[in-house]
Amino acid sequence: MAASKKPYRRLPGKKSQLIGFHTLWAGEDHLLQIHSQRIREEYKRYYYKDIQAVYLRQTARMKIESFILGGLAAGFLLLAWFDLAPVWTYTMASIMGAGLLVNLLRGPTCECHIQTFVRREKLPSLYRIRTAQKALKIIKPMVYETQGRVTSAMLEEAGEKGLPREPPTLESNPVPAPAPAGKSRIHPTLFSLLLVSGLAAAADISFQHVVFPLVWVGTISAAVVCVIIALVKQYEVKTAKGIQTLTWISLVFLCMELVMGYGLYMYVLFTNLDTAYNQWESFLVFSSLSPAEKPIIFAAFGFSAAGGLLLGMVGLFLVLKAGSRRKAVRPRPSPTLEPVAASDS
Amino acid sequence: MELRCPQCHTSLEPKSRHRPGFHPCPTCGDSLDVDIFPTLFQSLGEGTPGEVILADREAGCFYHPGKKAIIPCSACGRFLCDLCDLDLDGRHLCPACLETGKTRGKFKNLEQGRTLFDTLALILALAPMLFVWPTLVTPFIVLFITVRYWRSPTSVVGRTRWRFVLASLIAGLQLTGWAVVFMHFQGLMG
Repeated sequence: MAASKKPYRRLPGKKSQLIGFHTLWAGEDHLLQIHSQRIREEYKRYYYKDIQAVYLRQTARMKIESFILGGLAAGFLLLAWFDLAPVWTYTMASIMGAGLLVNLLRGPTCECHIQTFVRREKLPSLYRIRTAQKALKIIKPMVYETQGRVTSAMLEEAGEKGLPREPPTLESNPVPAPAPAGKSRIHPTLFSLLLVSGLAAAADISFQHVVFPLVWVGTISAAVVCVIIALVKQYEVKTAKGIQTLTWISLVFLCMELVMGYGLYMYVLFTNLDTAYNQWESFLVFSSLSPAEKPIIFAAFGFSAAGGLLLGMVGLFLVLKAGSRRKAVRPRPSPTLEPVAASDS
Repeated sequence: MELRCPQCHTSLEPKSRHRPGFHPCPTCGDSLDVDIFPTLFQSLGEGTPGEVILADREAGCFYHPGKKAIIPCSACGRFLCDLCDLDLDGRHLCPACLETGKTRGKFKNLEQGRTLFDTLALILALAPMLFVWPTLVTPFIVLFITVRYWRSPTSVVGRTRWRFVLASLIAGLQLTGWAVVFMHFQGLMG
């Protein structure tokens, strides 16, 4: 009995996300792009007979990532040099160094786009040039088998006459213009709260007063609620890509803040057991924590201040930019279809 | 579609792009490597509206009685004109059958997404173990999902049902564990 043949072959490349990942599979007559969200998969199919072109565009992502990882590794090494929590800083420096090494070994990054008769789509799983070229080595023979190869006569003809035009009804808008960003008040609120929390954390480094931790806890709690609402709103209202990404980063930042805050609070409770049964007393002890006491506390306060200020400022800038772009974009008249002539002649 | 830079949307000349390696875009300067295929030089073509019936003995389309039928629908047998004939994997279908088949998930190649109940069962079996107490309830849900969706299709790329098996085993172990704990406490109290 013949073994059952698998319908798809997995192609190199996998792009992981916060929840889920993108992969690419080669079928008998089409490419299958899968966006897996763990418990749900979304599919996009590109038939070999429809593929017109595949683009690889080199990006600077590897350089930027290497720069950030290298900078962080150097920063942690510098902290270790000054004997500031050497075990922790050496560990962090080696993690960053390993990340940098892996990033360099995986090679330069790219964006891969596939073009068919009616659309041009990004293939997120192919984001390293080496991986993309490996995948294309498998894809191209399949497309050639279906379509044949490009001849010099085709190129000459295209040079003289130009490429064939699309049907009139599709020609009205060949390149889709970016949709104007929608208006949402929740994003500015979120970024303002992050900015205030960053300012409160920065102020708490210099002046130990109970007001600053109170403001910090209040703004962080409000920001947690706001970030959840903002993430839901992003699906309802068309929001600029940059703001969407920053909202997700804010979620990660807030989660880290909560974990860090909880850790510090537990530290305070265990070191001051006599205040453990009085919330306000514990909070007062918590607010009197001095960053000068321990480098780890300084790092926590610094992270909170720097993260809040950075996310808040960049977020508000993006919101303002999106607002001004929205004002500049005027509503376009919808493309009108020509009436089909009656053929009963 | 035209050949365009994915970054700046500048129109690119196919002849200058049909060579291996990365070359800069003339406008934005980004390095591009473009592979071109013969379909780029073909037109999508316009759809045919269907021939008009000229003689009385010619069969008409079910949806457009004035148009000449060219083929029956492979699913329902209705006569179809050129306009209504939809070719899918060698089958000729009418728009209604295509829509019905798509809704019921009959055409694998038209499916845009699937829920993976095997992964859901496995996550429901594993994740609550972090918090211990939810495992009083979740094994029942896991077993229900396993039984209810055992025959439902998994990923289109084809995979076995080991996740269902593993999830059921874990759920069984959790139930056994709780049973042992309850019996122990009952013994202490009795």
